[in-house]
Amino acid sequence: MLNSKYFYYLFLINALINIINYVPRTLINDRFAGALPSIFISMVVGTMLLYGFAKTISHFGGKGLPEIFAERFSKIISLPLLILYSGLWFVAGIITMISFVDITVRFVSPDISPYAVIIGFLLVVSFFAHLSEESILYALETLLFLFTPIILYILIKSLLSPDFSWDAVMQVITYMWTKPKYGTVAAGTFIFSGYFNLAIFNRCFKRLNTRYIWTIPITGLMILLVTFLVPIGYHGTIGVEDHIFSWFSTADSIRMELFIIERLLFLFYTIYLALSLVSAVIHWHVGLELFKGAFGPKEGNSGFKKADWWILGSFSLLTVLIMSQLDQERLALFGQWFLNVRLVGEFALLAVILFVRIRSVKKA
Amino acid sequence: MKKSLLLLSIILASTSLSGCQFKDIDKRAFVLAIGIDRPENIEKQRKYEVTLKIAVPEGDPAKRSQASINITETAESVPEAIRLMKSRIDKEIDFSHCKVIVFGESFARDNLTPIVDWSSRRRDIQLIMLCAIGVPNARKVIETQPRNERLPGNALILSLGKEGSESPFTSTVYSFDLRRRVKERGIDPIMPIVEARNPDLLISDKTALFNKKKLVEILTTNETRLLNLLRSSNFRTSFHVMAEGTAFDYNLETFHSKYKIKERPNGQTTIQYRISGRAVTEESESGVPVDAAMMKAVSKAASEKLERDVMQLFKKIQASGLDPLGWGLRYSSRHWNNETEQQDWERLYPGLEFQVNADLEIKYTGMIL
Amino acid sequence: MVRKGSGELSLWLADQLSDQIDFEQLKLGPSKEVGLQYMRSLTNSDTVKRYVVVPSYELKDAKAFEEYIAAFPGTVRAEDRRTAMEYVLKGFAMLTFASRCYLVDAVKVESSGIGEAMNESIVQGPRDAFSENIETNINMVRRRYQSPTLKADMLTVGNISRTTVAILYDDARVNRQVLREMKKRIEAVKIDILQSSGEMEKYLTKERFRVFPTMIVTERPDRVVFNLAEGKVVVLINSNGFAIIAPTVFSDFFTAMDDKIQVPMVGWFLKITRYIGLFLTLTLPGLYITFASYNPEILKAQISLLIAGSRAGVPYPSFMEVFLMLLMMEFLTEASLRLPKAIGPTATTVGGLILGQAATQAGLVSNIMIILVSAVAISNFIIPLSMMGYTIRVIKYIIAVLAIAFGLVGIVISVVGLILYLSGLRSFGQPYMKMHVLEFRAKGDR
Repeated sequence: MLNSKYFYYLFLINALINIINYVPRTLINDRFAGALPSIFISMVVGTMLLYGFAKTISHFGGKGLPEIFAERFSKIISLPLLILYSGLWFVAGIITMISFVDITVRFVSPDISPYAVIIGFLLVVSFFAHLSEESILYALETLLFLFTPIILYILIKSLLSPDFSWDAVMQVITYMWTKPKYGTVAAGTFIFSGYFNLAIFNRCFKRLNTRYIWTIPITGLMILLVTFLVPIGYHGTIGVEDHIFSWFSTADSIRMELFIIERLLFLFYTIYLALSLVSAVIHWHVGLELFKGAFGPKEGNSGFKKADWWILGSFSLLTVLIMSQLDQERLALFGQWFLNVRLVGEFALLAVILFVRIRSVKKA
Repeated sequence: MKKSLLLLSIILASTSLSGCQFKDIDKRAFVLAIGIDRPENIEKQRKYEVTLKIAVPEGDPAKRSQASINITETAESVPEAIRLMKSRIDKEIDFSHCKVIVFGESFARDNLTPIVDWSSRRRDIQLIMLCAIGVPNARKVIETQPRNERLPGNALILSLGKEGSESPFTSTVYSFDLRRRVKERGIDPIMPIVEARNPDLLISDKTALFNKKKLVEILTTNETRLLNLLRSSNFRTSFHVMAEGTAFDYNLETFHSKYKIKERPNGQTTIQYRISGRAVTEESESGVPVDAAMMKAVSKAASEKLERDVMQLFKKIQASGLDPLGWGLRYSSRHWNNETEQQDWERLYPGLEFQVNADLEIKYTGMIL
Repeated sequence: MVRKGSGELSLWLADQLSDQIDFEQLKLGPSKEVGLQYMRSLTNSDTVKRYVVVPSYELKDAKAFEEYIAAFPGTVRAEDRRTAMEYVLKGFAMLTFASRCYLVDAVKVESSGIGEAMNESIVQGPRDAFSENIETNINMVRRRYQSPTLKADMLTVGNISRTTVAILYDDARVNRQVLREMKKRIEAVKIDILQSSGEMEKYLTKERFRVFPTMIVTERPDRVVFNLAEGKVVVLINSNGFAIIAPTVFSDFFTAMDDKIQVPMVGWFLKITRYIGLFLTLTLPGLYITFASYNPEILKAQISLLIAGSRAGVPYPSFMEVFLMLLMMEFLTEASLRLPKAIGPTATTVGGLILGQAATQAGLVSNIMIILVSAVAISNFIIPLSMMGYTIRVIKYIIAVLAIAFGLVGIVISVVGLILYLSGLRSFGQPYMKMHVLEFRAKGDR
C-alpha cells in the first residue's frame, strides 16, 4: 500500500501532458469565444468530478474498478462498461503517442519515418504497460522529480522574457464575459482527469488521503491559465492561431544564451517526450487492466502473460492503423472529439460509482 | 532470451526503416544567414534573389578560420531558389543554424508577407532568427565579411543580437516577434537596418517602421535610440545635454518607462508617458565641477530634453500612421467592449495627444566632482 | 544496583545467546561446578584452553581456581547483566563460580590475513577488507557491531565443496520477509561447487535475464555493518573475501563509504556528482551520434561547426566512429585490469595516449570523439561499486544503438525505458528504485 502522494502525481502528469492532447489548441481556437470563462468553469467541474470520484473510491480501499464492479454488478452490465472505459483510456494513450509522433516529425526529425517513431513508442509503452501499479508509480515519481524543476525553469524563463507581451494576454482576458462552449470546457477538464487512473491505481491505496485535495483546483487553474495564455503572450492574439502545436512554437521562441543548447525547444521536447511516454504507459496500463478485468477477476500479479500480449499487440496495431488514416486536420478533430466524449464518460462513471457506493452503504 | 531476441530484431527492423535518412554533420552545409532581394534587373522585378551565407567547416579546428561561401540565386519563389542552389553545392543545405534573415530595402518596400510565412512555416528555421533590413541591399550585407570575424556571419549575428555589443541603436527583432507584429491588431512591425559600407563595415543604427505589409518610415539614429529606450526597461545608453551653459554627457544606469491611455469625457484621448531613470555624469565638457545644485540643473535640463525628443518621435510616428509601440493593443487590452474597440481606436488615432513626463535624476557624478 | 546471583547471571546469558551459533558453553573442573561461556568467533580458543581449561583441572578445587582466575591480569568481575553481555560480546570468556562471575580477557584479535580493501578503496576511514576465513569475517563484523541482536545462521552449500555460508542479520531490525526469502533461496541452491560470492549472488537471483545487480557484493566490513543496522541481510561465504548484501536499492550502488565520513555538504555533492557521471557515461555516445547525424541543430552553431570541422576528414559515419573508439576503450580497460601490475600502466599509456593521438592525426577519429570517449570512461569509473560499473558499461551501448535508429527520440525512449525498467525491478520483494529522498509522511496518512 502506497502513500497518497502518488495520487497527486497521477493528477500532475495528466495536467502537464495536456499540451500534447490538443487542450491548448482547442482553447486558443476559441480564445475570443468563451475559452477563458470555460477555464474557470472547468476548474469547478473538474474538481467536483475529481473530488467526487476520489472520495467515493477511497471507500473501496485496495480495489480497482473491475473488482468493485465484480462485487456489485452482474457480468452483463460490468463487461460493456469496463470495455468502454478501457477503450476510452487506450484512446487517450493513442492520441498522446500519435500527436507526439506528429510533433517529432515536425520539430525534431523530419527525416525519420513516422512509422519508425511510432513503433519505438509502442515498444516502450507496451513493454512497460504491464508492470505492476507500484512500479509505474515509482517511475512516475522519479521522472516528475527530475523534470518538474526544469519545467518550472522554462516557465519562469518564458514569463520573465521581455519579449513576452502582457498586453496581448490582457487583450484576451477582456474576452472573459463571452459564452463558454462545451468543447472548451471539455478541454479544460482534461487537466483534472488524472483521477480517472484511480480506477486501477486505487489498488495501491488502502485509504486515499484527501487532506491536500484543495491544492488541486489551484494548481489546475494555474496550469490551465499558463497553457492558454503563454502562447498568446509569445505569438500575439491573432498570430497564435496559426501554430499547430502552439506550445512547441512558444518553446522555440525562447533562447537560452548561456548553455550549450541555444534553443529551448529541444529541452522542452525532451522533457515532454519523456512525460508523454509515461503518461501513455499509465493510460495503457489502466486500459489493459480494465480490459482484463472485464473478463475475469484479477489473478496473480504482474508478469508476462499471453493475454496481455494479445491485447497490447492488437491495440498497437490499431494505433498504427489509426495513424495511417489520419492527416493533420483529422488528427486534431480526433483529439478534440476524444476530449468531448471523455467528459461525458467521466460524468457517467461518477454516477455509476456513486450508485455502487450508495447501494453498498444501504446493504451494510 | 527469445523475447529479447524478438525485441532486438524489431529494433533492427525499425533501424532499417529510418536508416537511409542518416546524414552526418560533415555532409551538411549550414546556412548562417539568408538575404532576400528583388533583382535589380527590371525584367525580373517579380522574382526573388536569395543569398545564402554557408559555413565551411575546416578540418583543423585549432585554426578557427572564418571560411564561408556566399551563393546567390534568382527564382520565382524563395523555395525554388533554394532548390536551384542545391545543385550548386555538394552538401545538403541545412537551415537549422540560420540565425539572421536580411531583407533588401527595395524588397521590404514592396511586400514582406510571403517570406514571413515561409520562414515560420519551415520547421528547420528557428523562430529566434534575427531579422533586419539590408542597405543598399541584402546581398551586400550578407557578403560583407568584417576582418575581425572568427565565425562566419558572427559579426552580423552579434551586432543584431543582444549578447555581443549592447548597442542602443539596434532594435533586436526575432522572427517570432516579426510575425506576431505582422498578424496582431494594434501593433506594427519594426526591424533594424543594417548598412554595408566599404570595405567591410556593418553598421546598424536605424530602424525601419512597417505597416502590416511593407516598409513605410525610417527612424534616424537618435530616434532609434529613443524607440529602443521606450521598448525595454533597464537600458543603458548615454545622452548629451546642455545645462548652465556647458555641455554634459550622462549615462543611464536604470531606466523605466510606462504609459497610460487616458480618455477624457470630451472624447480627447491622451497617451501619458512617465519616464524615470537614474544616471551618472560621464563628462563635463568645460571641466566645471558638478555640485549638488549643478546636478539638479543638469537633471532638469536632461529631463526636458528627453521630453522634447520623445515628443518629436511620437509626432513622427503618429504622422506615419503606424504603431510600433503597441498603443493600439494596449488600448484594446484595457477595454472590454471587444466588438467596437478596434474601430474606436482607428477613429481616435489621428487625434491622439501625447504627454511626456521625464524624471531623470543624476545621482552620481562619477569618480570626481 | 542489585547484585545478581552468579548462577542466575549465567543462566540469563545462556538464554540470551543460546540461539547464536557460535555461543559455546561448558562446565569445567573435575567436579563440573565452574561454568564457562564465550563466543567462539570472538574469543581466542587457544587462550581459553591454555589459561582457563587446563588450569581448572590442574588446580585442586574450585576455590583455588577462582583465586587463580581473579588474579589473572585483565579479569573483570561481572557485576550485572549489562557488563556481562558487553564483555562477552567483546570476546571475553565468562567463568561462573558458586558466588561470583568473572570475565577473562581472551579477545581474539584477527590481524593476520586481514588485508586492505583493494576494490573499494576510500580516502579516510577503515581500510580493512574481509579475509578468506569465515570465522575471521564474522569476528570482524561482530567487533564493529556489538549488539546481542546480531544473529548468524550457518548453512552448508555445495555437494562437493561443502562451503559454509553464514547469514548475518540484526534480529531487531531485519525485514522478516526478506530473511525468509533469503533462507529459502539459499536452501534451494543445488550445486556441486561454491567458491565465490559472485557465484552465490547469481544463484540467489531468480530472473534469468537481468542486467542490473540486485545485491551488493562488497569486501568492506564497514559497509556490511552499516547495512546490517539498516535491517538488511548479509551472506558470508567461507573461503571468500566478499559479503553479499540484500535487499539493495539502486542508490546503494552510488554510495561510497566515504560519504558517511565527509561533511554532509561534501557527501551530497559527491553523490550528485556520481549521478551526473552516470548520466554522462550513459548518454554521451548516443548524444554524439544524435548531434553528428540527426539533429545538429540542437547544439549552438559554434559547437556544431566544431564537430563538423573535426569530423571533416573521418571517412566513416559517426556511429562507426563511436563504436570503434568505445570498443578500443573497453579493450584498454580490460587489458590493464588483467595484466600484471608492473605492465598495467604501460598498456594504458600506449593505448590511451599514443593510440589516441595517432588516431586523430591520421584522421581516423575526430578530436572531439577522443575527448568524449575519455569522458565516458572516466565518468564510468566514478561509480563506487564495480558491479554497477560493469552494468552501466553495457547499457550505454543499448542507448547508442537506439540513438542510431531514432536519434534524439531513441535516447529519450531508452532513458525513460531504463527508469521504468528499474522501477519494475524488485530486490527480494523490495522496490529497487524509488525516490527515497521524497519519503516523508503527510499529515493524515494512513
